[in-house]
Amino acid sequence: MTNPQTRKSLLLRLRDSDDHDAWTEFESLYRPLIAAMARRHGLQMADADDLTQTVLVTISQAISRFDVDPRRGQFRTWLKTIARRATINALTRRPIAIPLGGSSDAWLAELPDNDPQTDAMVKHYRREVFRLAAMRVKVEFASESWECFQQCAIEGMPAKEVARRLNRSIGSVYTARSRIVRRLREVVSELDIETET
Amino acid sequence: MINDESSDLALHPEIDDLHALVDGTLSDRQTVAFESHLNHCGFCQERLLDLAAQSSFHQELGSILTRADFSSSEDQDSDIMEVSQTDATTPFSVRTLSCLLDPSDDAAAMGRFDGYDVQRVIGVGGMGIVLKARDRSLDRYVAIKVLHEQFASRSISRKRFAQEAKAAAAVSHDNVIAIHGVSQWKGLLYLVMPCISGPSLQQHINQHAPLNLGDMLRIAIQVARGLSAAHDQGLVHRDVKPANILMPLGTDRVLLTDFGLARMINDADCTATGTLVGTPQYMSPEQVGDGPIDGRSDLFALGCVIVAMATGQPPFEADSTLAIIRKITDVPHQRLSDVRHDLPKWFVEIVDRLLEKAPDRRFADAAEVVEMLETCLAHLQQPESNPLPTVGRRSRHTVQWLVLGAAVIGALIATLPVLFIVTRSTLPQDDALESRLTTTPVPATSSPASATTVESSFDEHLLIEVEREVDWLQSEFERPFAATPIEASSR
Repeated sequence: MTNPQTRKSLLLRLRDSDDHDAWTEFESLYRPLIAAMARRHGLQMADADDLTQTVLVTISQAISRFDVDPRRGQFRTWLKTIARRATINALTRRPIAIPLGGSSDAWLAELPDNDPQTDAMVKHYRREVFRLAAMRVKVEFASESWECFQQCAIEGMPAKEVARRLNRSIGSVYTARSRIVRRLREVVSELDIETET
Repeated sequence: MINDESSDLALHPEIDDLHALVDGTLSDRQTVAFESHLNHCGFCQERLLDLAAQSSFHQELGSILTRADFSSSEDQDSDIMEVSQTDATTPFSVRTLSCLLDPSDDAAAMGRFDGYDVQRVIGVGGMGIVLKARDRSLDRYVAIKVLHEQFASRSISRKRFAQEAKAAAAVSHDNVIAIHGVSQWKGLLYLVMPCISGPSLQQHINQHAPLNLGDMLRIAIQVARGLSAAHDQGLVHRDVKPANILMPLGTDRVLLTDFGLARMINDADCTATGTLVGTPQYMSPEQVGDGPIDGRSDLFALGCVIVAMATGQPPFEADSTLAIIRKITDVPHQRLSDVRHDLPKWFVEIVDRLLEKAPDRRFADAAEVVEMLETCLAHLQQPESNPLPTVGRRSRHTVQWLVLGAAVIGALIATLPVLFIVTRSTLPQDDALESRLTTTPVPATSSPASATTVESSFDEHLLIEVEREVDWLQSEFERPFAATPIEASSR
């Protein structure tokens, strides 16, 4: 049944080799992000999935051509940049305008137009990154800790008031908040390049 | 614990200790001690926050996130949004079109696409763009699916695509969307299909899952019929999923769409790039692996669709494509009976058989599934006159159960006039039907066993189960197959 002629998806081959760690890691990190961007951009679920897949595949092809010494840090930065660019481009550009016979990911290299729309998209993207990070981090913490964080860090309530409301010590409110913020920062910086320094 | 001065620290904690506090690596005792210091030390409160993140991050966090991000995200995600000509959030589709289309003399149209007056964009996706257009020559509305150049040109010959599309167009069946034509224009391949107004099964599931047994059966039967018709023509769908099943408004009919085409392009893509395109959630083990694919692959997908209808989720879910594939190939599905206690055993077993990993262990073909499901639906509607079929080759205990169940139903009908009256009151007052109800010999009880012996030979448990089923059947009769009033796009 397994003759060499038969197609075998990369993803299955991945099971046997570990040289595509970057791709799988990338996929699990970014798929929800791109899909959320697409859906929030008005695409229906199935179309958002299609677009997400297209962006992922395009980037995976680009990854395979990424021939600079793939030192971890450098690769990471490149990946974050390319992911944001590809997502924004895919959502703002015409999907059919990919040139005939041209490399299918040529548009990756294009810088997004420098216009208000692109600026808005970058902000939008950043927001999705935060949302996604928050969703991920939220489940890692006890719900009371999350409440502390949410009331102080997001709703701007004084720690003293939060402590009173939740019947905890002020110190434990600070601990919960700082733990969650640090974890959020980790997840956010894993996904996106810093927009501000 | 609040303001526990006794365990207070005289000095500010070391920076390393604060790090450890944030990391959660301190002992409980130390944590309590530091927290009580933090209760009143503003300096260390600031230090702790600085240590967690720079102040710019704290600010960004506060300005970007809102409470709504956590409470109502699900609602936002399930919003069905339609792409329209005036929708400012999707500039790309309109821009794309304006470059592409010829001018039209119809003022209301966006332009002309190969002679069709394009009214609006129905949807844009990774695969292509779907337009609603008017076919002038026949004066009807059609949906035009234009494939991305990227997909249509890459590694798949246009000739082969056209051949496959024509084969799909040749399938003429009530439950398969018609393809009016396959053509190309300005180098773009496109399909012309009827313009269907109604939600997809995916949208229906998003809004109404879990579906009731009757609806699930009626939908599954139609999908299986459509598949059977296509398989007869030698065509395997390869992408059966709720998003590819349409539910036209104002009818109980469901339509299979995107026959063969989507996955065919994706397969070609796989050959070229070794990458799987599209979600594998509804794919069969042989499809994500390298096995040969035939109609039974679609039966596995049908099993997944039924699970999605019953639970709202496909049976194999995970964070990444790879993990989904692993589950599909290696992990047995969770039985429906674990999630839905209201479903009869025979239904659970049909799904089990559809979801067998090995094609040989599934039903032989779609026609067999149709027959099986039709018999079950008949049983559901008229249990007395329609015995259940045997689902699996290996499920001997099922057969026993069915025989016992039928016998008990027979006994109940014979001995419980109250139950009979209740049942009759929910049915049309039809004499013929009534006489059939009372006179039809009950199958599976070859000798008309006397009520007392039958009753005494079964345990309470079974009786309760049967009663529950009869109750449930009654409620089914009262509930018509609900057509969904969602205005959504066709595809």
